[in-house]
Amino acid sequence: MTPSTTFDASNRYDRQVRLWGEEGQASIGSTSVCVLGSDSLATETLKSLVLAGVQSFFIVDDARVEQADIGQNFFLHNNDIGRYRAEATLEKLTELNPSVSGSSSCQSPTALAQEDVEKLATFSVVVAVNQTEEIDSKFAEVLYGIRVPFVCMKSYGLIGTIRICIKEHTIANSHEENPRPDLRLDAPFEKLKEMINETNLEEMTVEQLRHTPYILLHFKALEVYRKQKNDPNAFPESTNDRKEIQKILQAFRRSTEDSGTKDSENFDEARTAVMRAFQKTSIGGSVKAIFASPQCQTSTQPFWLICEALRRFIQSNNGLLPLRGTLPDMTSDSSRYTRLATLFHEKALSDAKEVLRLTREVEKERGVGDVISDDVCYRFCKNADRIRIQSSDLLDYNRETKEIVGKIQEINVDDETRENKVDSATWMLLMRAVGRFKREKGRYPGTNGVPVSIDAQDLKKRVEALVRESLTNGQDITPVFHNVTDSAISEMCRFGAAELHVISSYVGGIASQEIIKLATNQYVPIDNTFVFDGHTQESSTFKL
Amino acid sequence: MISVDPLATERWRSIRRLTDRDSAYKVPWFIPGPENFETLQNTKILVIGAGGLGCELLKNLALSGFRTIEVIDMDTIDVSNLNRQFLFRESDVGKSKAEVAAAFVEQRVVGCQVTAHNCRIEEKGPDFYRKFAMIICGLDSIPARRWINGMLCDLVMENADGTPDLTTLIPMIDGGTEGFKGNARVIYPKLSACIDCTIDLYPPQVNFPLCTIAHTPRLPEHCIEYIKVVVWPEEKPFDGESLDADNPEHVEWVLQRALLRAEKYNIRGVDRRLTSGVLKRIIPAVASTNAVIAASCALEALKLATNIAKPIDNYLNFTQIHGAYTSVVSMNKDENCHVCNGGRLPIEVNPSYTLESLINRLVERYQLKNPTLETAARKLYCISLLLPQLEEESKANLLLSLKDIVTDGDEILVSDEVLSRAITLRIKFV
Repeated sequence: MTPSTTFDASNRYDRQVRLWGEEGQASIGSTSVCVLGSDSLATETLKSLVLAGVQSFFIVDDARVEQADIGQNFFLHNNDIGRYRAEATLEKLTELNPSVSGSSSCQSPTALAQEDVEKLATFSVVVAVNQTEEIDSKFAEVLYGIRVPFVCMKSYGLIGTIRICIKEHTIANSHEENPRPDLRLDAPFEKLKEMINETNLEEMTVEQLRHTPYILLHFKALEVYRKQKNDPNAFPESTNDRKEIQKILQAFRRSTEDSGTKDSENFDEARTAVMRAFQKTSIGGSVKAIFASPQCQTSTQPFWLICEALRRFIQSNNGLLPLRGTLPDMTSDSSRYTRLATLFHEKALSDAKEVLRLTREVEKERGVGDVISDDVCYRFCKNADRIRIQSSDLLDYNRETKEIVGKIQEINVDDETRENKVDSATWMLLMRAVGRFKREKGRYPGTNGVPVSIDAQDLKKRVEALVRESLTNGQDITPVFHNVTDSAISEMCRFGAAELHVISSYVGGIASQEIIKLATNQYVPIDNTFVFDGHTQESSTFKL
Repeated sequence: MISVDPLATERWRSIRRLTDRDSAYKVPWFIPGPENFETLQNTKILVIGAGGLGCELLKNLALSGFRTIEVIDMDTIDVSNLNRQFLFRESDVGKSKAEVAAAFVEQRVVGCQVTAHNCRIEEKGPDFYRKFAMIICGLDSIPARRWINGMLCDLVMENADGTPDLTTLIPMIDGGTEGFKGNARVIYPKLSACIDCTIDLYPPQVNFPLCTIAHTPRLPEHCIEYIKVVVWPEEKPFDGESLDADNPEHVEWVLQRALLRAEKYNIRGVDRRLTSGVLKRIIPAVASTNAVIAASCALEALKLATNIAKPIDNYLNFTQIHGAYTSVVSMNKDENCHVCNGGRLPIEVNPSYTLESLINRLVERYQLKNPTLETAARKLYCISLLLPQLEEESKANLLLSLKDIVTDGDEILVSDEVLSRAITLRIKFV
């Protein structure tokens, strides 16, 4: 192998480009991440981002390397003890990928928050790692205002949490698994109609019939169905209607004289596909919400420019979105399948071309140049039925604690379950109590050498206070308190601010992929709080 | 009075918080104390695979306090590994994964000993595997998982009363990833569901039917597959070399032919990435999923070595396409699993069915590739290039009824490359 092919960037990223495509890789390549902190949760997150090929990262931390860091952070070495942790970890992280540039600042994150906000606005994503509640809140507020995604995460003992805070996040390609195929059985386009009309099942040989792609069988069954109903626009909408279609399909089958069986693969496929394929082509709620958004009318952001063009396209296209243009695989002879695949593909291209023309119109009206390329427009149209926006409230620990207490109030489990397994909302509340403990006592529970049970008493008082503050006057705290067991409170003290490498690696792994989602506008991010419990390895997501 | 944290300047402070202190969520027989961390440090653990999961596992174990680690992998480093196998650099391409990974971890985590074995797992015998307290796997191959699973089941000895001797039981932790999905599981050989108990979890490999790729291709994959299985063996390019998907010239040759075929049939989508993907059966992979699954596995190893918390029961699923989702399910042991049952099982068959139908049934049930069937008296079926005569005989046998080849109560020995050891089936006519 010649060196040039060995070290080609496309080879380095081959295994991931197969997932998010060249366009995803390009957006990652222009992503810059700012990370507050350089402990093992921070470096584990950065590791996966540097490997994925982000453009740059910036570490902010004034901590110096201690013994305990060596026992949990892979991007530090014994020799680094006493150095600035941000500098020492930066060195070892940049070794992972020569095309990524990294830099660091050895000041405290508090100092950065006071600096010009413009600096923060240059980052694609800002991440706060194991910071205090004060720092989290401060950054959340600044970043929310300038619409920079903010990820706030913690690793504490066997517990990990991630909170994503962004005013509005747009998703152009959700990569939904097994999306419903876009076959237009209720609204075939012109060229497709021609092919259906040319198709005559009765005139075919058995061999031809058995190599007829099922989409044509579906259209033919629909013709019979409409005749039976005496309604040229009838369309099977209920499960029973669809069962009638299946019966019609069964009746199309023929056997050869010698074999006797009527079974064949394409009819099996046709039958199985009926339930999913016979759906009216419609526009989903998440897409409608986008069209209804005021942003659609005014924004100059690329996403919104195409969305407005899409909205206009639909108005002149009988309420239909552009065709996705990918035909599912189906048993067929080569010529009919490829003809159909080509028809679908060409129709998708021509729909996208029309959307592009409308986009140019919108761009002109809003005084921006040709922002959207052919390619971007085409890809956008292919996923147009699954675009969505996600919005989140500003991170606000007081408000969120109230919501968490509300969730705990609703927990209704027996005593044994309660003792064996702690609910994720309870862990969240305990994380808040630990935060308050740290603020009030200047240290974390279980870190001063006295028996853990003493700090547990102190922590319990703080849990009580948080619950009391969250409930309206006069409400009984007992039902909530019943769900926050002494065992769980003691467990938080047992942790003693331990940052276990495996927990950080787990949470950092998830966080890095969430950051990639935020940077690429592909896939659907956590909305908006994720809690991991290492005891059971179970996790849950809720919106705060 | 000011009390001081005795672990303030301790390197292993975080782990020791959990190993030194009591908890309501511990395994019942856990006794808090500094001995636990010592035990952990002296626990011998084997990592199988030094790839995407393996690199992460070695790091995780070293930073969880394990100090005696061995790693086995026969592979060498390729540039496409570098997007996730973070112990390797461009200058390491071509070197042994196990050796480079072991050296890196030893250098970074001072005091941790990592012994590398640059070989196939099958090259090591029971005496090698027996010395570990637990084995943790980051493999991408199902046959390799089945092999080590079989080995660990075989290592379990029986007490006089027939129950498994727990001192001979080596727990196996297994991780697997594909794109943004993965799983992690804990197996107690012969006590809980093993790899072969749940073999149906692995979808059988999809092969395109030859008649489709030859006569009615419709997908770009069909065109590439046709060049691979029909055109290459016919035309014997590159002086008759066998097709090597890692050789860019070979890939290029296939690509050009596949493009011509695609053009002929008017099929879109043949390109270099797809061609290498089909030829190598590439599984897409990202750093993040490997990090999550390896952490999940290492956390279980930490629990098993220290009892600080209860292990999962027993299979974790993970996916991160839409949000991030995990769930733990309890897989059941298969009472008829050939591995858990020491390879000897009864099988009920209809005597008038053909040998072919029996073979098809076994291939599906045990996910076999090319089985050989024999009785104590003779070989019934064996397809091997080395034994052409037997192949002819075997094909003739396929059409015979079982009653004409075996009698009720006979034992048939079934062997296959995917089985760590042969299965003995006792025929019961029904």
